[in-house]
Amino acid sequence: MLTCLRGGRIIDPANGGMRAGDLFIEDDRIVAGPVGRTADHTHDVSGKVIMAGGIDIHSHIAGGNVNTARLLLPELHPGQTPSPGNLPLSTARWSTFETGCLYAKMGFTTVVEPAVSPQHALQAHLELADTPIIDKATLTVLGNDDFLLSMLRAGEGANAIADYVGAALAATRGLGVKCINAGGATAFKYNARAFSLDDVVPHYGVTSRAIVEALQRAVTDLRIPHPLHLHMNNLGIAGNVETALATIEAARGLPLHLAHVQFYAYGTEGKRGFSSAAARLAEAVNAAKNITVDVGQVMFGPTVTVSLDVLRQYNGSRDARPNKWVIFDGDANGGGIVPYDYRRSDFYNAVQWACGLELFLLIDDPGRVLFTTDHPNGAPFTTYPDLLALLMSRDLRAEWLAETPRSVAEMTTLGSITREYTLEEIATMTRTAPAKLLGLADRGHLGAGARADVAVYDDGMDRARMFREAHLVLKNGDLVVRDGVVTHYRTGCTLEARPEFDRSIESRLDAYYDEVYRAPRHFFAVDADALPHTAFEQVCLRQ
Amino acid sequence: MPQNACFIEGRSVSLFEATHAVAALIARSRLPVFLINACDVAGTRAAIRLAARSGGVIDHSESKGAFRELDVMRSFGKFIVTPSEARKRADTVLLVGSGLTKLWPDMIERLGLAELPRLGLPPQRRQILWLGARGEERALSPCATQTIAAEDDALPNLIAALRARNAQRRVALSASGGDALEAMLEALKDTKFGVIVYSPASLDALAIEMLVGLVADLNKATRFSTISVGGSGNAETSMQTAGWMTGFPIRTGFGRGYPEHDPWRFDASRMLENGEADLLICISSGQRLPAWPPRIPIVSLGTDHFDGNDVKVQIPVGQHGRDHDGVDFARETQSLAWRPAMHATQLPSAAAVLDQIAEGISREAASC
Repeated sequence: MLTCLRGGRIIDPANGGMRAGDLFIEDDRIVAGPVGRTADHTHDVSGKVIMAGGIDIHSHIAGGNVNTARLLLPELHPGQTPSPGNLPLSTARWSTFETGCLYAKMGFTTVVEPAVSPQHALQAHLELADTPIIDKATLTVLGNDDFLLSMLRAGEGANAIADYVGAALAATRGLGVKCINAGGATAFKYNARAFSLDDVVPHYGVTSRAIVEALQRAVTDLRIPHPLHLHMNNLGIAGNVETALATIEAARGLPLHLAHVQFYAYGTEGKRGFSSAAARLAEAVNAAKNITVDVGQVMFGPTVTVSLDVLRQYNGSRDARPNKWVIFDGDANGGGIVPYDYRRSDFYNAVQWACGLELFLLIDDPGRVLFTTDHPNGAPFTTYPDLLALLMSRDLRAEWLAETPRSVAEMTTLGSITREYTLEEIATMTRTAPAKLLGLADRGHLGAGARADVAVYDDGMDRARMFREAHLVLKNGDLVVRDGVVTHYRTGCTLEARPEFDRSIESRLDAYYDEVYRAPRHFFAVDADALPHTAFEQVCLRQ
Repeated sequence: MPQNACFIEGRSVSLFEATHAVAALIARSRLPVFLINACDVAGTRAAIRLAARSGGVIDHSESKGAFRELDVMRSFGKFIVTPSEARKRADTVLLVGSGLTKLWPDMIERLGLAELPRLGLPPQRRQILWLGARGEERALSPCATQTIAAEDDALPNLIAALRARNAQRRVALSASGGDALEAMLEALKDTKFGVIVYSPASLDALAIEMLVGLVADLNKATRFSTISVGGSGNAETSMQTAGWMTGFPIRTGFGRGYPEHDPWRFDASRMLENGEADLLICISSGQRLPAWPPRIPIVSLGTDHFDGNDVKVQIPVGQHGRDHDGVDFARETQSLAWRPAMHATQLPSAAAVLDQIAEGISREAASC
């Protein structure tokens, strides 16, 4: 079937920027304007803005720790609205069904769950299978696992480590590799309360730096498109910008993605010893072309922090709002769930909010600063429309800043920044850049041959409203949202990377699981038979 | 009689007839209760979908202990460690109460109580402390380096006393009791990675909260966490599945068209005893359930009988991990685990039967 979106303003940075005209869709693909054929179906979208479907590179939407957060905080998400009959459980708040619908309504069509531990990958994929409409992917978390740390201790070579990483990725059906506080979660089990880049993990005798380097090398050797996705040491601590700067240095010019850098943009100035160092961090990112970042913006309101950085979460549990938490000393990373309420009137929270915006606005290339709130850690993803509005209006930022404690403006540069994001820059940051960074050649743009994931927005002055409820959203060419309302469920696919590796590592891993877990390795494996409704789609490896 | 024979009021019928009859019962019901007894994720998903569609309620037969745990977590907090991490690391294991090996027969092996921790720092050792020791659990006695004998009802006071002494507060205990407690506290403090093992079967919610409080206090200086030994672990399969599908645990009702969670209101036993429900769908019954006073139609997806209850419709379903593949919560790994069929049979899965019932409801609706 040929569909035409007629007369819109097409914002497509990957294919020359902005143009006015018609966009044609044949089945699930964008096609060039056909000659001598009329469309079977035409949507008049004159005066509206057309972008590719949004891609979220870092949003905690599935897995055991996310589920614990749901069970820990029933009071935060009481039901209010009955679900329409054709969209069962779509109004069940914090459910996977609601997640898929809310993303679709905003015009997002691909979302990456960025923290899946190998022991809990099956649950993450089961949850994603119940997340409708959007396509999904996971990042597999390594770097605190006994098997890898033991390999490093024994001085095993890069090939062996790459084989292990390849096998872990295959067993967990991940799209890429994430490392969370490398070695720090394990050190916490040996009673460390802080852990930096050159600290040594007890028993194993390896540093955080060595773990990161080894994983960075393995990801490169395996030709996985997405570079190592790193959650650095010392998250959330005053003065931790030094950690971020040292980590950029430690990347040695090789590709590295730094997650939710807002939480690492803190200095120690001022009478409270807490200030924004976002300008310094932005300068370093601008200079290091091998580095990409996502922001992890803080927005005000109650939320819950969910992280496999169990050391950080334990330290953060003192400040839980409300005062309850779960600290999980699980295999490898474990994790921690700590509720939190970011308050506009709280000096520290307001500085955090300002830090994130500074990073967005001071990093020059929107292709290297990706759009996240580290959902739900900085804020729920449902705050995206408000955040986009802030990026597009200095006046709005000034209004918000004026409502924070007066000392906040002194501790940040936010008030002096005049930059306003254009729609093209927004499309780069939320579409083109994440597709490129994940290796998704047919997404994030609207050129011929691209997957027909398309969002059409009303071009209003109220940017938050514009991005909250898309006028139309097509997923694989199928109209799934009309005027901000989801029309029906469809099942998205799950993206994975399947690099080649030496299969002899498998028998070694089988023996390890038998000995250490006293359970067969297939217990943990993401067996396709366990996910009858999931279609996996492999991305192309780097050349 | 074939293994997969279905019955309506004792009369042998086809699977189609049986599922159609259940669909009709659900369509007519004003408040159906879906009570899971033992089921995998796929069956639980199908039950939740059906409950949501029919305005019913979802609960599990082992909810009581599971909610004792959950209520402490969501009112106070929790430290949790996996059995494999405990085995790899714990230089101190404190067992609280008796009956743990009865609830978890391979606990000693799973926690490696008689082994040294593989990842412990030197000097390697593993001390086993037992608070609330009772004679009948002989398998534990050789492992224990310190024991304090006590009945279950004395445990809350002993845990409180440990916590108080750890905070250097005075407690009223006899001299000998006090000395034993001090010795145990010293052993706890002289720990690098400690694990406290207890069961909600022998501790009430306040005592569990006190225990978690003790763990929180001990964590200020060293590392401690806990393992709770509950029932079969199957309630956790339901808790997890309901968690992502509805945002809430089980004991959730769908009467208003969206999930509402209320552990009292949607307690299946209470609802049945009080005559609030008018249809019970019991899924994959692995054990006998008690008779409920006001008799209501019972649908049994399983093979067992119910004491004193007449089963209106009986549909045999297979057991996951035996008759068919499935995923459920594994206590030994504290994660969902894949269980391939050991001896695959033709018995349908609970999920398949529930999906057929759902199709039957659609047909009923279409014919109206």
